[in-house]
Amino acid sequence: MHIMDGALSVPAMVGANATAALAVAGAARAIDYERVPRVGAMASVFFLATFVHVNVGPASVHLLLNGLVGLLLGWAALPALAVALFLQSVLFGFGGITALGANVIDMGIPAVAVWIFFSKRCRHADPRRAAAWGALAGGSSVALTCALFAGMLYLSDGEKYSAAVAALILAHVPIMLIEAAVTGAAVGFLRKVRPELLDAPLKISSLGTPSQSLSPGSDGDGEEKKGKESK
Amino acid sequence: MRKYLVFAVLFSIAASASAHKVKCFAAADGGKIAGYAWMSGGVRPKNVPFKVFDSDGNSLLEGKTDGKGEFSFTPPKRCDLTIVVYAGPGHEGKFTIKAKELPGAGIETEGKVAGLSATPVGPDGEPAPKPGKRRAGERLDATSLEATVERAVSSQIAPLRAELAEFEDRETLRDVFAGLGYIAGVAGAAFFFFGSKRKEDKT
Repeated sequence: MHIMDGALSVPAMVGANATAALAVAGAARAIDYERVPRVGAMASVFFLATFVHVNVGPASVHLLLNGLVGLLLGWAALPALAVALFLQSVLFGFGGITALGANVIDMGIPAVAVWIFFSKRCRHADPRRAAAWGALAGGSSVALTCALFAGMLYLSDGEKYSAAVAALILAHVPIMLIEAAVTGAAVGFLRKVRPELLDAPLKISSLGTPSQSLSPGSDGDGEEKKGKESK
Repeated sequence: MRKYLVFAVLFSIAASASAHKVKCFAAADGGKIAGYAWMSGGVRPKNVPFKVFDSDGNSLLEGKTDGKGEFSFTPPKRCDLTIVVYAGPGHEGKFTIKAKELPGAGIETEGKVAGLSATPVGPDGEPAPKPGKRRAGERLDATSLEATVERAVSSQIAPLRAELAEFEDRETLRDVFAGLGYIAGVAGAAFFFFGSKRKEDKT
């Protein structure tokens, strides 16, 4: 699922990197002192999920878990994914370093999207329903990632890839099912045991809302953000 | 936090040394170039197209890997050949085989065999007859001897080189932990940053 070096045309690559850099920089504001460990832990989960491989016919596909990362981190999923993707690229060659921005967009947008659509539902439902919403979130984030991946390659070089894209999406159906199961189980479990992990959406302070009302449960948050901006 | 740790440990156990990076390897085998592609983790991309380019990026020939992910072709041209295997969108494996590794390299490029005189000398000091005019029962002349040795050596070395190429970019558990360490380090740096901010704000 990672886009490799040279798979994208130069304008697509430059545009993707610029967009991703802006998005990550903006989204990094959603992280504060209390949430650093959570962001780090989810970055690790994502980093490791890539090593869980499933062989589908001739191809080998791997887990993404960007849905779970998104549900637990909200906007902060973007910097978490960026760090993990950078390391995957540098250490293992998963995804080219020049395609880093494209990969961040491919996997980050679904993460944030499922957070927007499903996080509230997971939070307010009873554990079993929360698990069902989580499963839906996990599966649809993979589907969305596939769609973005396909779209990115198609925009970049439609002729070259259009046939392969269909095969790619087909190969990811099992991944969608596995991710739905994993994300659903994780969300159900968290809803039961540590619901506050789902309860604290991470928002960006500069979206026009007064910073105090942003996130209950993290005192000093607003002051921190102000300090950061003034510097 | 403990739950995350459990998660991380579970995944690192499941993390077999596998990736989806496509690699390919090729070596001279007799008069041909033979090789194979693999995705780390051992999966061989079967029946996928491959192309051969020269050093200027011109496509020389194309083909498909067989049911074992292997391919072979006769080098169409004496130059550095780059073999690209297309195992899916964005999944390309590349391998460059140098001109001097091609079969019979010493003979065709330089017109003579390195280390031997241009006219091979026979056992009794007379110039050896030209290849093709050789009589039955005669000893091998230098040219065909060279070819034989080359073939023998390359068939001995090829598996070793293949193994080396696979070993080189097999991601190890060590790298997995390195990555986790980096993430922990980045989180630590973030703590450092937020921590100093906090202190400023409080004073």
